[in-house]
Amino acid sequence: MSPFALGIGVLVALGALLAVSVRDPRFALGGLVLAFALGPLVAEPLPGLAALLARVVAAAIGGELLVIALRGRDVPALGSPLGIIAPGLAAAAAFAIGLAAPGLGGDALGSPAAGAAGAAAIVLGLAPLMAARDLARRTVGASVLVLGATLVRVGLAGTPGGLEQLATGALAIGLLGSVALILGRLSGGTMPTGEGGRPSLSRTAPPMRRYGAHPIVDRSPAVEPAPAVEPARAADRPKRAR
Amino acid sequence: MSIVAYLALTLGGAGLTLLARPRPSVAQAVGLVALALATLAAFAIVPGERLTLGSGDILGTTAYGRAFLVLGTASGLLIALLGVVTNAPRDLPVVLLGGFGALGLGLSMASPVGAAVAVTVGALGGALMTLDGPPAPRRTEVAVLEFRAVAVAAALALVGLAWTARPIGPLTLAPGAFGLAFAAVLFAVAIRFGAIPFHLATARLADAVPGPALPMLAAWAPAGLAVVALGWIETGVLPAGLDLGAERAVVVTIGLATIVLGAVAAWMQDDLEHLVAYTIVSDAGFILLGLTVLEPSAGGPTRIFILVYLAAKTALGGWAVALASRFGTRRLDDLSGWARRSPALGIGLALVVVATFGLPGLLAWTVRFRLLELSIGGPLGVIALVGASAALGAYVRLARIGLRPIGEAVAAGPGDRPVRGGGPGGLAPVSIAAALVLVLALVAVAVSGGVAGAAEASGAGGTPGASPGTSGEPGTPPGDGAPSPGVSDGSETSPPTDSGGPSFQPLPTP
Repeated sequence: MSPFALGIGVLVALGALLAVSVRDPRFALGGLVLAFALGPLVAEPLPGLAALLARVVAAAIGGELLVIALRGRDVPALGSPLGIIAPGLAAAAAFAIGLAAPGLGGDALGSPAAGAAGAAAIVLGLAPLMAARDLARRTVGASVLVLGATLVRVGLAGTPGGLEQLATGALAIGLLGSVALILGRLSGGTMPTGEGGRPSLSRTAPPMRRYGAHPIVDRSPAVEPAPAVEPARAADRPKRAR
Repeated sequence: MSIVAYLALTLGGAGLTLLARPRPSVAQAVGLVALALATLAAFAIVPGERLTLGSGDILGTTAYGRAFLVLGTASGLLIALLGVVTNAPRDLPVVLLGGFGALGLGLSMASPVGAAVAVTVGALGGALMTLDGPPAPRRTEVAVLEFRAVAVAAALALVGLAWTARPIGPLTLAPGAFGLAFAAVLFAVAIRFGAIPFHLATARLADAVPGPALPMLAAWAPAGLAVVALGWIETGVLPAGLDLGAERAVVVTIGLATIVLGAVAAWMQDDLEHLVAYTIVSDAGFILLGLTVLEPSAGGPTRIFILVYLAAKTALGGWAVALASRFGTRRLDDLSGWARRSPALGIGLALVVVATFGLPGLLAWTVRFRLLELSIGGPLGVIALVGASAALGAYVRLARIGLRPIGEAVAAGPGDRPVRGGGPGGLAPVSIAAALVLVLALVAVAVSGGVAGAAEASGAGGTPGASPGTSGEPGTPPGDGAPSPGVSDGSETSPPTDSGGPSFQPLPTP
């Protein structure tokens, strides 16, 4: 494992830590984009130049989507209520375990630094994903989790081929674009809020229907009727309408 | 290379449709034309082709892949047309094109990990469909739930698939970790399908997503991951020959619970789209059962069931959209007498039932029994069979409601008599919608019966009650029967399957 890969791995983990721990959305989302942009550089051997460029450009496009969707909006605060220290320690522990046990029972074909950074990102992404009712944190946590999985994949099975790099780039755009769209919707101030005034999952919900499973707060609007047609003629009307 | 044309048409069409988004009518036309051309391109896919890219990656085509994409894109076109006449959101063609483009890419990639990444991209695009329309807390909450489900499933699948993307030999020294990888991939499939107990996102999906998009999000996108997982099991898990009894037991339990409880949940719903969602979930349990069978003979029935499942659920989704659109309500209580008012939709539902459960002699019928027999067998299998038949309850309830005296909402809606309206050709949109539903249902019936004919013609027809490993295994979906790369080119990394049918994933590596 080269010092370069190790250093990049640390930077990727730091980016993921910023994404899930910092309250200011600008820094949090900046960390997320940074982690996605640096992710391909942690592989050993490095992917080809074209693949590398595709991944970096994909992260840049994702970042641009975030800027477009959230510029001038009152983006809800992100970050863990635990602050940055506790998640940072958990991530450091995961990073160390990833370095110490590359391959998870077999030979690792890729860089241990990638596996370590991936383990740290997975740990960081899991907490908000599983525990938080805060919708914004859940969204960012889900992205960090997938980023971690792609890094673990690099650590276990080696540097992906060009086509998979391209697909991973598209995945990064999809993830960051989804974060942008969802945070944009959460910024409107129309969502129910939970602890700290953040948009959160609805905790209680009135029953919408007799047997409806998992009802949610507001009932879906009635389906729009079919486009206008000629009124039913008398012959076409039911005989026993009740 | 035929698959490249398909990918260019679907992904390029999605891009063009997005570019034309500011002009909705143009975007809609571009999307429909692209879907039509992509359907033709799917028909033109030549099984057995291999394309080695400059980076060393391989794109390949198989007969099963072609059948999957032909069925998917053609169904997508019909659903998109249905969306046009029922005022579905304008982004539906984009989601369909992007989704099938991602599925096409995933199912033609040699690497299971890369394939999982590709199908996840398609699923993400579909998840965003929940945000289509004016901002509403409900939609945003459902979008987050669906996004989380896709992300968790992707993470599990990527790690699980990558764990075995190495020489298998040394990995067998850690059977526990191997079992965890196996369970992770199957859990990923279960989460994507919304299997019980992971059904929260799918249940709420029905509340937020437009009806025409529901089959794409709840059935097609997860099915892509299931096909990838199936190929990985055949080439990455079976050769290890490990005893994964505990992991299998857990997933079989989930599959059984999904079949039985999903059917009960569907029966109890009073919302049409919820009913459709839970029937989609319920039948996905069979796919999970098929994935747990660690025998080469399970691949064929599982693949065929996936096709039958997709065709039937797409038809059911289309039927529900047409019904709700015609009478202006999704509440079952308000749909009293719908079948009397619209016998065409009644016939449509009957065809959907036939396509879903099949009839003795049709492959839809055979593979259901076969999957239960292979995965469970014995007395427990009989219990499972009884539980699985509970799925019929939801359809019987729909039929009973349809045969009741006509209610107020139904009486206010148009009947089947052709009326002039603002639709294409001067026909009323409701008439066109009913016709499209009948076409979808007929396609579904043809798949559940025609697949059997093709399989039998190739000498691999399934027989009910055949014991595992015997020659009577269904294995060949509709297609020209050309050998697929996974079994035909003698690659050392492609273990032969003794099913005689095409193996879809993974393709051989150089």
